[in-house]
Amino acid sequence: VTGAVSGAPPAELARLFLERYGAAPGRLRRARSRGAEGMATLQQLAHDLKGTAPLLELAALAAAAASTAALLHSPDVDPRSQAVRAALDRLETTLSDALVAVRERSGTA
Amino acid sequence: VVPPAMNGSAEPCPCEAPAPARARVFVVEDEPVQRAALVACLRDAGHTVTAFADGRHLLRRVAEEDPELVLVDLRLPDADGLELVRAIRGQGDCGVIVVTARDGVTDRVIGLECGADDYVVKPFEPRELVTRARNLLHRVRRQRGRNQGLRFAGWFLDRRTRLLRDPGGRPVPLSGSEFRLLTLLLEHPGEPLSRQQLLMHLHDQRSTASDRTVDVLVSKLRQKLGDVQQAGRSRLIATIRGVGYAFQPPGE
Repeated sequence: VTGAVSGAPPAELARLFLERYGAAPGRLRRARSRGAEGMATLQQLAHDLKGTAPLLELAALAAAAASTAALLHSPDVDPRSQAVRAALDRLETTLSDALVAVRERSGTA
Repeated sequence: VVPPAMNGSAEPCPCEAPAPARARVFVVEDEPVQRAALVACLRDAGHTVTAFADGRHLLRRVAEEDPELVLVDLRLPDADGLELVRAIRGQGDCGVIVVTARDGVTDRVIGLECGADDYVVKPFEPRELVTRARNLLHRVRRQRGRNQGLRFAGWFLDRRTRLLRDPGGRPVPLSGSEFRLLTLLLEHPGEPLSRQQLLMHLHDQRSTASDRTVDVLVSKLRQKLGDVQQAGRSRLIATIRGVGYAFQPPGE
């Protein structure tokens, strides 16, 4: 397991990440299915991942989370728009890939 | 570790100065990975860090422990981060850094207008964060020095009136030497100071007093502070074997 943070035990960050986001792909899908009602959950998830993914050197997830957070934060966001759907598709894919990568790195795959 | 300023001269410019002596830093962040990372990089920089997952507990401890620096995430489950910044600012003169994923210009301006001293956008770069914290700590300490008050464990040492007040607000008289010794120790929390350093500060290098003078003064200060040795709790003024003494902030 690698870690970008000086002084932070990488294995501990990986463990916390898996604990926090292990079930996040399912949470993301459920929030999407609720349309506008699920927006707050999606915004929170994107914001959290934007700050967290770089700490574990998960570049693809970091980029997807940052662009999704920016999109969802815009005042006139339409949850049914093609742009939002594409961003959430990408976030879901990169999140699932990141979970696999972190499990492999930490030996919990 | 910053060497003690023995002559009471002005602090060096932050851009030239090494990291300030260990500071008491609070972090409030509900996201566990980011919280662990923030704590790790600040501890790695030598600070004493207490982390919170919500604003309610943070505010209570800010009131009780008077930290020098607080890092605040704006998206918390139980509090509006901006209101939290205002509340912290209303409680004391600690430094406040907002660490948030909100990166719009309006967000930054509002954050600073609420009283934050600095604004760091996530994802944060640990080295940048530590440097910003260090610079802000220099400013906070300089400001507190101007305010001429030193707080510790509920006590307050007023440098202007040279009066020590106990946690109940009652005045505790100090001799001139006791006052100077306590001030120097409080200005360097966690930093062992030799008897020679303390003696030089007390007597401006002109005295023929011995190391024993320091021991006697520390003993008197401990009596006045009720600073007795107890199991499971370190003294406020700790004896550092082979060196001298250090002020140990509570909880360390």
